[in-house]
Amino acid sequence: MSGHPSRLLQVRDLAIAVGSRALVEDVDLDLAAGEVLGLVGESGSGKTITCRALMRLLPPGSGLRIKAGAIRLNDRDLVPLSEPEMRAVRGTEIGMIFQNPSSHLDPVMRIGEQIAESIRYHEGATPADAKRRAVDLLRQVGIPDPAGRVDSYPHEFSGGMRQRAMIAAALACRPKLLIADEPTTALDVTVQAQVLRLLLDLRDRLGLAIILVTHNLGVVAQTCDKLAVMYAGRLMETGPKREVLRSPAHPYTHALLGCQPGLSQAAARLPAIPGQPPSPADFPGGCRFHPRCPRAEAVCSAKRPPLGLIAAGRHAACHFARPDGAHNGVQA
Amino acid sequence: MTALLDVHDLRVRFRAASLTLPWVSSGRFAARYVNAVNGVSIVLQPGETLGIVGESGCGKSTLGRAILNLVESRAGEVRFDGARVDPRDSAAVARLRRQTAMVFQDPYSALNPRLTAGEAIAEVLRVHRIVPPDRIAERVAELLELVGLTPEMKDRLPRQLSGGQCQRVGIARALAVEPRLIIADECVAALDVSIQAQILNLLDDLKHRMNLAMIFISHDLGVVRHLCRNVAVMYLGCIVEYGRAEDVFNAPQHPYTRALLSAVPDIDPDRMLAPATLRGEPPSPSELPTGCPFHPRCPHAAEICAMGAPPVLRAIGRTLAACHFDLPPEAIQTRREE
Repeated sequence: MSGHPSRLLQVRDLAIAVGSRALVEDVDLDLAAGEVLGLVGESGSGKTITCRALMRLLPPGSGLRIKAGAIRLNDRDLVPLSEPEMRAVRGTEIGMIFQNPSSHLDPVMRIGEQIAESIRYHEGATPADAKRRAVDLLRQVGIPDPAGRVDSYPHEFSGGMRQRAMIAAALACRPKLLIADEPTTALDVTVQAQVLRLLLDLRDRLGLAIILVTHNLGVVAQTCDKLAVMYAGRLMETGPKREVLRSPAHPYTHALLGCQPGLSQAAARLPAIPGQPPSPADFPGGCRFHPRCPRAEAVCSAKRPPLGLIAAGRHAACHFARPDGAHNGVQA
Repeated sequence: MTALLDVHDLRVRFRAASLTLPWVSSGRFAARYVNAVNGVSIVLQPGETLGIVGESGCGKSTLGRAILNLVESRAGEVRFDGARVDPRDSAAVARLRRQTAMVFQDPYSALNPRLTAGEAIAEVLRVHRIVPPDRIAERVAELLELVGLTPEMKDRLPRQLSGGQCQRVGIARALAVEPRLIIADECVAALDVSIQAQILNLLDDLKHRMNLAMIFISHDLGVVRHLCRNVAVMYLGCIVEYGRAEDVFNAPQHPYTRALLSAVPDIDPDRMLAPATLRGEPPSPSELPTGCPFHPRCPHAAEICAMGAPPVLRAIGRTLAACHFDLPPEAIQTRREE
């Protein structure tokens, strides 16, 4: 499973724990250059701390640590790297953007300086050069009048423009991988469409690989190449977007798709998932979804299903997973 | 049949926080105003569900609050059950509020963290003197069951409840006054999709069982499509399109409604991300454009759109839309064609 030339990121058996309690377990992710991976899950499913772990940015003081696993970026494992080594990786190899740009931009620093800062830090560029690059980056992310706006402060930008500025800052040192954690959740739909369009353009132009963390299956369906569904700290299902959305192999994916109110159909009762996601303090044994699963049998509470190969490129962690989704009663 | 709620030409304006002096009326230090709601009229029949959709800052929440007189309106009239609600007549306002209830977005901050679920519901029953004091405990248990909680949950504090359970307590509090109208402001926006579906089903059940009228304010078009019979689309404080939900969603007439619908990412993996049809973002409500509020971003804008008063709602196709033009049907991208 290694040595593939196009493999940019390969995560194996990643486990994140606080003390002895594992919050995230056995996460396997693969990403090639130019691919967009959607990481989907409800709040508390562990998608955000997984991303922070990829950057080795687990909040200090929280007690969170990487307990096991490997994060190979271009065949180099990031887990054993020291903090100074990691600091060189962040920005130049992996960029990250967040849900709320206002809280990740310095309010008293000009937009251009915030973008130029990392160029000067990582590449030792002169202030004038760095500023020229910042103007160019703002142009690339679609800010009108970039030469004028480079000296603006964040409060002078609208929400959508701030998110564009954060993308520009994340891409300043030409990373090959962008981790976008709920980048459009705080934006209105018309602005969300603009930002998603921008991310796809950048992917096409720069060959950027993107991990898009979201709870919105619509966003995934319209932008990603493949997706990974998380629930209670474990991957439930991974695979190419079309196959997973068309014929979900895992009952959780199936249920999640079912309870989205769509635009086209008339009002009908939504098939809600009973109960609520478990808290990390009392994750159920066996399959973590079994207390809410309509398909659950005795084996589900006794034995934990591994994330097994069910078809080419598709994995699912369910004792009854079938690639055509037939066990769910849906037609493939 | 008398309409349950008749709102006519409601206008709300806030004074923007700025350095303002009462004797300065123009220039740099003059007071600036945010025009949040600019002449909105809606009619709601008993048992009807109206969805109000729009992007942030379009005035949809302010409209909901202004109807209940929770913010002061500058002009316009609210009639409830045929009687005018005079905002200066506190008895009339109290009567209105006894028959209406509001459900809020953030279920945690809408509840007092020191009151248990049971006490929070009992408080409403006591304040509005809905039932005699000796029946309060019984009624609290009934209400908890009505919203799908077990009576034992009455002793839990908000922090011991999940988001979905808190929202159910919020709904139980709203139902405690036996309202005829519920105004729900983004009441599922903070919930995960699996929990959101539970709450939507609950609201749908209650609506049918109790013949509740509901104003459902949301930015999520899918949720509104699911729950509401009628829908009003707001932009910069005005209703730009109003009609039956299926007509507005299947054959939208106003260019803004079309752009809004095409921007919603569909979960159909074979539909590609729509090209961004709208440039820019909504202008600030403190500097309204002249003419049609949407004209600076409208792909079909002509000279007339920038002039005069905003266009009024008129019948176009099967909905009411506030646009000067009848756009040709081929300009309408219905979701079915794709």
